[in-house]
Amino acid sequence: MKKRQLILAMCVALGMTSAFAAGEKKQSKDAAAPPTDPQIAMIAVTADQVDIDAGKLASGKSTNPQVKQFADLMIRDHTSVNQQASALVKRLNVTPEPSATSKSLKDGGDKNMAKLKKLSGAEFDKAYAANEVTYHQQVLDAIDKVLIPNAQNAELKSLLESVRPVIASHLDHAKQLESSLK
Amino acid sequence: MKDAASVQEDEGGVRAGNATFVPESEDRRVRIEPFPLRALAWWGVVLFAAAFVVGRQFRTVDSGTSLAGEQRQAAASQTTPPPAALASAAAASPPVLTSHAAAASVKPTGEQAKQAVVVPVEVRLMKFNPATVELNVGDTVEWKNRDLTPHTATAENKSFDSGSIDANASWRYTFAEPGSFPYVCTFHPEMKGTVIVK
Repeated sequence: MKKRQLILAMCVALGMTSAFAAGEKKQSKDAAAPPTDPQIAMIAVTADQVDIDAGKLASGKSTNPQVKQFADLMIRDHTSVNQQASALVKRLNVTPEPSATSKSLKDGGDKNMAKLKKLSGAEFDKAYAANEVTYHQQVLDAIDKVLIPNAQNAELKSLLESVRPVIASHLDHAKQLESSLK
Repeated sequence: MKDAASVQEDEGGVRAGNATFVPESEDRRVRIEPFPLRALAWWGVVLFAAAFVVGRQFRTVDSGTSLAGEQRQAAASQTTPPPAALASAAAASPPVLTSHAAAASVKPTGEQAKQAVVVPVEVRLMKFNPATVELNVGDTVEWKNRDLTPHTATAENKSFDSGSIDANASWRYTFAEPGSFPYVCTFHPEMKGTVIVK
């Protein structure tokens, strides 16, 4: 009698988990189709450019040497990453293609710039640092969950794998900067 | 001729389903002939299979020993790399570096000690690799930037500073004094390395 109940409970549990799994699958499918290599290339290039633009603004506008140093690091590193990415994309004969993700990155970057332009002094520094933390966290998540798993070309995948530690390093720097400004 | 005819007859008999009419002796004569042939074929197959298995075993033993050899070579290259290892190191380097890579070595011993060597340090995935290198006074370290961003190799005591080493570029420094030299990348201070000069 007990055994039968146990089996019944297991069946119910199994049925529930599989239903959950199916639901999740459907949800992720609804969210967005996996990006193609040309779309991934565009996402990478856009992500770089957005951070270069913010860095240029901060480097020119901030008077805090730490903020300036961080902004210069962002400009230097992202410009270099972009050069390598562009060279690879050219060599592979891939034409970067816009997608919902690249557009939302660009829009987010534009909004941040508009917000930062209205601020100055310590307020500017704090807002810039805070945005750099969230931005690099988002990019890191995208690299791990969307870009690397979906990249088809081995060289593109390898490029993204090399970009990853750069972004992780920037995230740490940004967190340090943010806490130093508090 | 007669035999052949009888064979045909036999076969005809069998085909007709009249096997019982075929004399036993004749039946054996007919069947005996192909038997050694078939046996030979079977032996051939067995021998071939045996040869194949033995051959494979030898090959695995071979690759096993050569693998061990490579490991020994790799271990040796940390002290004094043989010319073959140097050549492969040169082949792996980008064209700019090949002319120097032939002289590369990590730690000279004996007669080679007086010869100046170039110790490569690869900068990749935000790390110095190997993080610690040992060399003699007069030897040179070459930092090869295989990363996507510029890096520096800057001694904590400021005795050397590469300045920015661009992606795919390299920088060399010759150590004239003995000592232990911890260094960092000033752009990414979490990147650390040490040069030990004897």
